[in-house]
Amino acid sequence: MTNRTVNLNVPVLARVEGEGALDLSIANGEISELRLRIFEPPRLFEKFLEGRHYMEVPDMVARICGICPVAYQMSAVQALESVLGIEPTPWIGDMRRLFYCGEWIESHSLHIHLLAAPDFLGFSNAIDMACKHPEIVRRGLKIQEAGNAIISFLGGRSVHPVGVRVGGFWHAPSAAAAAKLREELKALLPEVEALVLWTAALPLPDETQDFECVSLGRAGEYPITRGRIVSSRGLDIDIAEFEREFQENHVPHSTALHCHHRGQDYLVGPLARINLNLDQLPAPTRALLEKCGVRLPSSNIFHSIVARALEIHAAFVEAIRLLEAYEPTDTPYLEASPRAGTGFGASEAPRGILWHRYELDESGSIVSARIVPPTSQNQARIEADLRASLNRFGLDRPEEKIRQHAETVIRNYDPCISCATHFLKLKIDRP
Amino acid sequence: MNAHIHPPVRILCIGSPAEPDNLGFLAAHALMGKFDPEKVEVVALDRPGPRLIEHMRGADTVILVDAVKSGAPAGTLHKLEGRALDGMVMHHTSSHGFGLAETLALADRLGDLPKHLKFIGLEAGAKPFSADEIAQLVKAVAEEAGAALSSQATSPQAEPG
Repeated sequence: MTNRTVNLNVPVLARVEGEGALDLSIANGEISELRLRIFEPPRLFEKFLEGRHYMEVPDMVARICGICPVAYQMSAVQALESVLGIEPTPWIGDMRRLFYCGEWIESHSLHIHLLAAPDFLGFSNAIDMACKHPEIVRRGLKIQEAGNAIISFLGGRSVHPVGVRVGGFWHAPSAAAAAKLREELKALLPEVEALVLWTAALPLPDETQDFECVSLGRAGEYPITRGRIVSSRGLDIDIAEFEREFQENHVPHSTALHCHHRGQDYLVGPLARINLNLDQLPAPTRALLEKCGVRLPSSNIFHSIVARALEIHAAFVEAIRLLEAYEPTDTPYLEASPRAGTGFGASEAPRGILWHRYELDESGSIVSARIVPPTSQNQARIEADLRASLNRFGLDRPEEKIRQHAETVIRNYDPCISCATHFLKLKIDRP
Repeated sequence: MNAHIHPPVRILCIGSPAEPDNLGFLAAHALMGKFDPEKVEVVALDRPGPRLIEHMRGADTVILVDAVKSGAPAGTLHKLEGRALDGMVMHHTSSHGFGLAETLALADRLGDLPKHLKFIGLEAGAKPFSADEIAQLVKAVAEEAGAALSSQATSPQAEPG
């Protein structure tokens, strides 16, 4: 059961794509009000899904996000298959992990190079950064393309892929295509190693905060497509128990819901994931971490960019491993008959846990759906971070400096591409 | 990471399959099959963002096709190339922070723009594009691609055969 206070008759899921704003009031040298306003109109995807057959869901939820459609598809099929009694074969499980590696590579590389890095190097945007560091941006685009190639390998195309279905994949790619992709990834691996070392050497702010990290874990592997929900404060629950522990609330200044863990903000995403699952990183990635000199687990949220680069490396290592073992199959998907019931799905989207719940009737139609994206889970944490970080930064600084710092803090969470791009309209009220 | 060798002339049609931003999608479907696929590639791209650079890489001529909002009367056919492109595409609205204008600027800084970059678009209005307007656009794009092919055939750098 959920404790959220929004009108349950009109479930609202707002992607944070679009413009946001920050309202900040400072009185007597202290922040008296801070609101990250998100006014993207509600998209109502959960409501759109009602009455649809479960086979339509993977293609519909892929449309929620152009950057992480794989995550939406993977959480959805996991939930629906749990109702239908489908137990994915090892081939399907491996290919889902490979598919997801492509999305991590594509999304993380986009964020590092085109959104976050200019902040730390003093550029106003990636275009200006490309004038001074064209080789860095070019390398980033190549790595991003590699992620897109993995998604296309199984999904048919890299944006809103169509290769996924409930039960598996529509099509098993050829061994020759797998071998070609594997060799392309192997050739790029040294550049990914260089990327990790480059991010670790960036002049990142040195500030720590006290926050709870939440991710999937205890899956016997670095968490991507499955696991229990664990936290740095001892939480360890099945994904079906999510609604008991986490509550979404509507706040007046945002069309995205704010999610709390027992009333407290918390962090999801690459830094939380890596902090909680260091022992599950592939051995070559652990060796690279030792070499780069960043100490993990870390409570410096600005280490998120290093965590993203390490996860790109881990995804490359995993993708190469899975492609080396790849053999086509005659059964890329499993069939099932419709069945009534409620199922849960959770996977690690590039930005953190993406949780789904679906209720089906006996004909296989969706009775109700609930989707909790990572951006809504991180929103309260972003506001708490802004409050602490801006106080430390200095509230007497010029408005332009405060705006830049606030943007850097927000972008660091990679809330979504359009939100994380230069968007901030800062209104400071100083009596 | 290209799956195959792309032809040197590429028509990249930008748009969503869904209205109202579906001009590129409709144009791509009208143009597919009109050319030898070994010489001219026609691709429909749904809001490609920086992936556009990947699609342009290695091309001699790229013809971008998209809807435009510049203040001109609805249905106006725009044909631009070179630096004239900058001002016009800056008016193109994008649902993402990294849209067409930003992507072309980034490709320019990286030296990844094709030798010949052309843009053909229709001015968007309050109503969907008519069949006649789309046919006019398709005709203009086909003529431009034909001219690019002719130019390649007579170019001293062109490969024999």
